[in-house]
Amino acid sequence: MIKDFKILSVIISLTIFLFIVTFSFDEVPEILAQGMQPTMMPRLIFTLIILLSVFQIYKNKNLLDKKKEIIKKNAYVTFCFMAFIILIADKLGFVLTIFIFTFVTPFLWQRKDKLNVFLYSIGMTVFIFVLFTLILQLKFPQGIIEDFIVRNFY
Amino acid sequence: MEILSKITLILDLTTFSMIVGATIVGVLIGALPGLSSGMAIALLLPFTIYLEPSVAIASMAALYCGGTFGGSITAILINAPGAPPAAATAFDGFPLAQKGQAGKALGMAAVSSVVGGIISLIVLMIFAPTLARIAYKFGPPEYFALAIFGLSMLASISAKSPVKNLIGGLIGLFIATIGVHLTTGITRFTFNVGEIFNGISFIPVLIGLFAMSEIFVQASKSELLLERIKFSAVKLPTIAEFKGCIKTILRSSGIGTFIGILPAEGGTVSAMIGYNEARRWSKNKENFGKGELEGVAAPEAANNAATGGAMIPTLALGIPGSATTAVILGGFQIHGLRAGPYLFEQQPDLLYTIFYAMFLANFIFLIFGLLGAKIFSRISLIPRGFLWPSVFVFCLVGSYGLSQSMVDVYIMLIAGVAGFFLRRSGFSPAPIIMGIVLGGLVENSLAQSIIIFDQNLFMFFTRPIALTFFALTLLSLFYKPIKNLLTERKI
Repeated sequence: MIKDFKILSVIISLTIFLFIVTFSFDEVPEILAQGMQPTMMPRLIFTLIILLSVFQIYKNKNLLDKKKEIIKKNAYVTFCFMAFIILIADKLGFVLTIFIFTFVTPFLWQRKDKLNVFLYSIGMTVFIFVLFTLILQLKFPQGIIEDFIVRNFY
Repeated sequence: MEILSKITLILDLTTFSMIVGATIVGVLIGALPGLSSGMAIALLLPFTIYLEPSVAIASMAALYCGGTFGGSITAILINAPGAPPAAATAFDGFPLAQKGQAGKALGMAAVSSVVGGIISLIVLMIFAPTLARIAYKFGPPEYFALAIFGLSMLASISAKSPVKNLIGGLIGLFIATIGVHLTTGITRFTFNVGEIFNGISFIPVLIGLFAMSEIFVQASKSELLLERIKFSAVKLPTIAEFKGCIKTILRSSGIGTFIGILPAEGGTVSAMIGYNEARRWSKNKENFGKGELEGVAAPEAANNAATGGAMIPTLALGIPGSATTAVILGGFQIHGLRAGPYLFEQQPDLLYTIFYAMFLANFIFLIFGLLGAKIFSRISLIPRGFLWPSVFVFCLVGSYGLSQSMVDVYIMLIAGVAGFFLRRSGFSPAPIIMGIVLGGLVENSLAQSIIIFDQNLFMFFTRPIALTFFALTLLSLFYKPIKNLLTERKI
């Protein structure tokens, strides 16, 4: 396959999609738009992206894609776990989320020393809680633990 | 002598301790392979909201200086450059360390970094106000032309694909168009997500592109086996050895400052050019790559000089001189400040604070570089299984912290995944960031120019400064292709 063909095709496809989206924008009366409709800039940008991407594909026409380093299973697992953790973070609450993440991920990254991992995850969670919640007064999503504490002990 | 009296601005306890702390954090982070000063500033940016704007910006500038130097420590000691600008330092720094002269290499790196940094700061102090005075004459057409020139520089400076850099810059410009269009009030590309009506927040995209994408890169790597160097006795270079390198240091400082001023990835390119020039002019050419002190002095002077150079267009024009200064410009936005000529008139004290913070940072990393390099180098031995989950936690908290919205966290994740795949295909995140930073300026100044010119774009030809920037834009875009074409024909 031509070098960078895949990524440039994805970019071109997304750009065409976004270009089509610009047709759904409302037309603004000329007196308000003052020579520059809200679609003008995005369309200009998309046209340039498409032109440059096509130019790059043309430039690479005689170059074959180098075999890229295979994305290891570890990267997919890490990504899925991160996405999962982010999606449930506001349900679990940030404190529990951080603890679970910092406890599980080192094992996904081939660490085997359970006690060190446990101490690390406890330390990291406490550090984040003390620094951001207690000192900087940042309000994180509370989640099930805080809800449980509030409901039963306050 | 007004400038000397302004030193008191950084002498109050909070400012001083923040600058010292930021420099040390910068050195530590710079020493970690994969973590850059840009990423560190991106991660810490949401929390600077609790600080006075001058303290926050000064800390970022100090972290930038510390981070640039920090990369050299691990480059010399374990052949793992902490940041791309230090890659050239490893060419001769590591062989020196293998010969048992790690102290000499570290000492030379620290001193040449300071000389480079100080020279570029002097240039910054002289040149930035002059540039700002010129920029007073700029109207929207000139700013539009300048922003376009800034973006076009992405094509000519970076060592990677110029076309890919331009595409990256345009992607950044597109991201900047998301949200309500200021002139007409029409929402664009929000897909009914209320949280992005005011535009996509800069911070989550920044954290995603710099930090999250790096986590995915690291997750795909095997455990790095680092060759550790023993250096029980730290012997610093002699005065004679410094004197032998002084020409190289001065030349590289000039190269670094000049390249830093040009908008793009200054540090890495400066270091490479500084190194190549040092080899070209050296009497000991054949020793380069085998452990030549000049080979350490040149890239270090150049990459640190690029920090001061990059701050010149950043402060005077609001056009970032490097990826990290683009992040610092984001810091200006968060604190309700706008970099550019009016900053010199309205906030002179802020500028003095930044100048002195960078001066102070240079002396702090000189001390820590000479005394604590061995300790700093140990940070690179933190297991990846602990380091990168911690970075993720900061990504999570950092992207959530500013607006306290989960949508920002989702944006950070999307930016991280996109950044990972773009990086795999040779795209750099820096042009995207520059596009986002310049996006507002490009669109607004074009809209204002259209009004000023009564919709006649040919009126740009009546503005000599704008015309000069357009000419420079064409030069930066087409100089290399035309030169290559002419070379091919000669062959």
